[in-house]
Amino acid sequence: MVHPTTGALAIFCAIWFMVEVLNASERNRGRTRLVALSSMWLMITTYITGGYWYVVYYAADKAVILKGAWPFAHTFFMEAKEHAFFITLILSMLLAVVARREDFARNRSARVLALWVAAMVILSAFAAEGAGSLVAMGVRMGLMQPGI
Amino acid sequence: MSPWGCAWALCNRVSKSMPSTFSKQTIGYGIAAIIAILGNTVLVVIKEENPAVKAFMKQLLYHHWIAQGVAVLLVFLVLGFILTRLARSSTAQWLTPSLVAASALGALGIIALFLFE
Repeated sequence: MVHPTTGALAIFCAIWFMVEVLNASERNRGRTRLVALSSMWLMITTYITGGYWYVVYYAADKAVILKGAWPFAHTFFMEAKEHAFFITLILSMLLAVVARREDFARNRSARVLALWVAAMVILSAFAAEGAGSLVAMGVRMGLMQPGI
Repeated sequence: MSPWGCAWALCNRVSKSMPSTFSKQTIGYGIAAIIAILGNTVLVVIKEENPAVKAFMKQLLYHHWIAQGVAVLLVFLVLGFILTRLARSSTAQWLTPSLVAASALGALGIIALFLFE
């Protein structure tokens, strides 16, 4: 599965970005921008690959989940994940804009904003990864039902 | 170093320099992000409560989720571009708390909708 991997890599880049911002100086400016940009592109890749899987293949999984013991894996976790993901995507894009335009070594307000945005990207992306695991578990629970 | 000592050192590192202004790109795309995030939640509520809207979105771009994604991204990118032209560099102290509040509200709105639906 491509999208959980690129999503996890986007989280790593956002964590790396926070470390760079907390140690902001003239020397690490390029690296800070590079990791923010990497986080954004990895999140866009997650959007495209996850979206392709969801639109093309998920219908079969959904039918199995809804007939299984964990229907909430779809009705709550998948539904919330697929819509809340757009918040993560937009925040990761904003992170790249802030990293490109602000000087974190001198600007405290920009540093605080960047740290908050990165923390929200990390938190929401981790939540999406967890919800994805529950959806996969929901499919397994469905396949264990007799008659499927 | 203890966890409290580590947290104190991080706080000092974050707050050791003076507050400064945001660039107009940060303000423009920051406001666009707030609107897009809240708009996303509003669109989810409208779509889930009105099957006709969901069907229209599906008809428009093959799947309602694709239409939702395109709409939210267009709002962010187009509004960000326009607001960047209109904005001026300023301290905009409201930007960070507003963005955090909008993200929390947007996420909680979606969670509540599917939890109680």
